[in-house]
Amino acid sequence: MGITKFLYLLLAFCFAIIFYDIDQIDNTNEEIERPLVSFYDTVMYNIDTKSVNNIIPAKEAYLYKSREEMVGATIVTKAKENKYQKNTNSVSSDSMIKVGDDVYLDGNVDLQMANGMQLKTEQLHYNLKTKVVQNEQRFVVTKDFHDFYGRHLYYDMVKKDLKAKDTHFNIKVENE
Amino acid sequence: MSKLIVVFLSLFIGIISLAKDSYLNIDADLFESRDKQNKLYFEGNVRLTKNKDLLTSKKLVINTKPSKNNPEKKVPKDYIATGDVNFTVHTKENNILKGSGDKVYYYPDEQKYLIVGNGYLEDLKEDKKIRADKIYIDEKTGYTKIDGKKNKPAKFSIKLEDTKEEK
Repeated sequence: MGITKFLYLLLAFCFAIIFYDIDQIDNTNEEIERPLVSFYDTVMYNIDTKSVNNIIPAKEAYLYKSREEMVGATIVTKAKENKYQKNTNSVSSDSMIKVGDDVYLDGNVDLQMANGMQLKTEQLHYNLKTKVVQNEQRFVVTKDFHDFYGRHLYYDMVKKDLKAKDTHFNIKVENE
Repeated sequence: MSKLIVVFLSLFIGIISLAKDSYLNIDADLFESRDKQNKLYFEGNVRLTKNKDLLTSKKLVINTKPSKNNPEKKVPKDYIATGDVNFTVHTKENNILKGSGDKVYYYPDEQKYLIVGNGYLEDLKEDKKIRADKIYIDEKTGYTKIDGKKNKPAKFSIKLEDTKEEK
């Protein structure tokens, strides 16, 4: 008698688990958004009537309804000022997600400016409208023989104001 | 005495002066750079080191200006350290100088220094000490001015060697 009750309970429990799992699968299926367009090993060009403004090589690129995603991408832009040896700025990372005016970079973020400045970090957020760069993780900026370490970077590219926490500077000093 | 003070403070100068092929390290809890104002702010546990030399303070402001050689490059115009300023400097003569003050100014072009509020300088090797409310130093001319307050006159302390009388 006791064994029968136990078997019924076990059966009910198995059914509960099976239906619960099915519900879960159904929910996850609903959440997955499929990209409208997918590119693999692609190079994208942003061209106007005068010149090529951006070149974006990427391993994978996906265009969704409300966002764009790239994997293993590098954005190369033409530097506005033509006085440096290098005339391009570039930023690369393992993953780039653009939602509206916000660009989120994640994993091995490497920003290289025409003036020789380089920023390396694991995470970066950039707003195309405000032109503010922010991050919360450790970063290192190198330029010439100077190193600047810290976290919680905030850089306003318009005002050229910069803030950071837990900072360390290693500056090569020269005579004027 | 004025020469002595110049020697003392030349150590502090050594910390922040612009010497070739030397590295300056600055640590701070917070850093802020305001490009239009040409100011660099360091705040919270500021620690400035150059080789063995050390300066600590609560706050450090570096005012910058365009470099004469390269106007696009900015160079320090002056350094202002405030709040429990302490410094230790190793001289070429292997002296160790210690100093402190409420506020310390350094003007690298003029090579002028100013310690304001509870100014103190000590030569550990020679055991010489100076205390004053304001200490001005012009490294170029060697001119030194020490100001005391009514309640806090300038003080000098020099250890004299004992002379034993011959019997």
